[in-house]
Amino acid sequence: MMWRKSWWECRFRVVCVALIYLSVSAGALLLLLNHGASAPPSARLNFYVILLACLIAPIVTVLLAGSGINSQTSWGMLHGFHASMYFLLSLPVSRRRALLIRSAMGGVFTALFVVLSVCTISLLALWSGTRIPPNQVLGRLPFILLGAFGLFGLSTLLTIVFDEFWAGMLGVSIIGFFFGMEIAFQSLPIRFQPAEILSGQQFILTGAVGWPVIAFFFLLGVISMAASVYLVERKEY
Amino acid sequence: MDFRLNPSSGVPIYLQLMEQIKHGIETAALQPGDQLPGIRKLAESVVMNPNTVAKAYRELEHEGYIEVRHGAGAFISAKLNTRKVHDRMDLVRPLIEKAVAQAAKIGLSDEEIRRLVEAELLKHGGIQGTKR
Amino acid sequence: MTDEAISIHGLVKRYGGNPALDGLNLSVPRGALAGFVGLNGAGKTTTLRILLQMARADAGSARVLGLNAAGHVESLDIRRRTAFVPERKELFPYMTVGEVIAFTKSFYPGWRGDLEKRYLKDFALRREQKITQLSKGTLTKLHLLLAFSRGAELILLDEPTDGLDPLGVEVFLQALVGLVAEDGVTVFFSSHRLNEMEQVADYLCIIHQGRALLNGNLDELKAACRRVVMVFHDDSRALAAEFAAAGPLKQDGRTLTVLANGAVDSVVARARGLGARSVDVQPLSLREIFLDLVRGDAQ
Repeated sequence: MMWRKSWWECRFRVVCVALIYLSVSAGALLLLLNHGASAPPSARLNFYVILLACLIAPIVTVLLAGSGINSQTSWGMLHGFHASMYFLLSLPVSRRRALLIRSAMGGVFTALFVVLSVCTISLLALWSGTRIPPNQVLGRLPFILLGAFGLFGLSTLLTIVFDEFWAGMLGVSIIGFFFGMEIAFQSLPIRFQPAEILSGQQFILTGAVGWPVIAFFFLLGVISMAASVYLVERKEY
Repeated sequence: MDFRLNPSSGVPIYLQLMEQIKHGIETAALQPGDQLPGIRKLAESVVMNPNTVAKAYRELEHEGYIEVRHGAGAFISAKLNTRKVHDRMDLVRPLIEKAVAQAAKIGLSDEEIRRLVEAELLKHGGIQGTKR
Repeated sequence: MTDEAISIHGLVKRYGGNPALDGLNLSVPRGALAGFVGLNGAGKTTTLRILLQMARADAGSARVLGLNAAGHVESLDIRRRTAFVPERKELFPYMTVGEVIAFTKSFYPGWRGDLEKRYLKDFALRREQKITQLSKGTLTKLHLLLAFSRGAELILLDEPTDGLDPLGVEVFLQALVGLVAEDGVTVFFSSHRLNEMEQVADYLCIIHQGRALLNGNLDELKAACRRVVMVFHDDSRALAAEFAAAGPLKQDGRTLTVLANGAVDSVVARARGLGARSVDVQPLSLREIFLDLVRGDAQ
């Protein structure tokens, strides 16, 4: 019943994410329909996808990541740990399993959000008459997913170390900081620019994969998930 | 039969239970052949430890007051010579009456008399002495 | 030894600079109804958490049902066979009573549906109730239901009467006694209600400042612990040293009171030898034993 419990913990956050998805779709639509804009449609689309990859999807990971142990609420971000964890920890379920199931639940919905958002944007791009071929949008998907994976791992690690409230605060702060650094990254060669790589723009334009950024976010995801498992097993309650 | 046990009285609970069952026999509230409640039932109704009930029953069986028949339960011993029980009490009763009357005459209160008796029992390991 | 349900040796646990447990030695035989008594902060909750691997000891060993409490796989096995009622009674706020029961039941193949039904009735719990709507006493009752219906070999309880009214306490004690009688379950419960504990426990552990003060059969402990009140002809201050080794001491004018733990006869003999005017040996309730020991330790 750990899956059902994880769902109970996630469901209101999933509703929030669904609302975010709707606003992303609406935003994309408005952006693409803005025929009075000076920038060409493909540039507008690229800007929007950067927004999705570097700001919105990361915020979704902060919302959906969870430890399955530290906090047991479905609504709100609690200060301190919810005491029901003592009961849970006395049951014959390993902490690793509790964490992995909760992460799987959050991770699936995060991935679903990304996939649906990108597909919707692609459809809207077609439908709005901008004539951007689907593969120019869908081809970005693996990159956006990778970025989300890396940040989901980081968010999960934060929920192990901190309570919900601080995990959320720090998560959002890190994203804000990272996004704000975007200007600084622009002085670097393209293959080191997260926005250009994670939005898939470089791949669409030049076919370049941008391995440094890819490797960084992949390792971020793997190492923080491994660290999460390691720490949750050793944590004292 | 209703049992009233006082956990903080200083007398071990199993002894209190034994005494009350013996008292029941003396007052004929429990007659030879009567069945005593099962260990679990008694433990639950009086809210006491079942191991303690078991211990009391074992001691009573050892002293010949009750019989434990496998599968059937505990019964007041049919072979019990209740007269013999009464005789023992009759022997000691006048001694106690005399001692209490004398103590009261000197001016000791009931509480003081009780304490003296308890202290005497404790000093001589009187309560422990019934353990075998 | 596998005939011990709980076996703790030299357990040490420090939080920051303070030792919560300072070389605790404790054992509980199987089938016992054991009480765990101590002041707030004495180390009771820390001990229980270490037994269930919520915390890790810094030194020493703890075995539950013969298994090492610090072992990863063994701890899972321990938790399969153990029931726990924590000190903090909160449960998952997004569930109802029925959902919490179903959730817990899914982990225990030996779940007793008959006991579940019985306690639902005895504790007046309803499946549709939302956890967030439950009072503290009702939450405690739900915890007790979850613990007692589990088919566990060992039941660990931390303040199991929290928020319970007298009827709730009675139902709790009856359930406890019934479990021990029928299934030979071992119970280890910490509580501040010493009267109730004295009523049903047959084994006792007193913990103080992270160490065990007493650990053994309750009847034997009570038989060995006596208060000896000695009245001397003159001020007894000088004689106090003679009895200091016997136990916690109180000196007031001509009266010397010592809580003798064992060796009562030698204390009485020594008092008489020193010319005491009167020597009174008094039995003690669990509450008196505990308070005297703990206060005496502080002196």
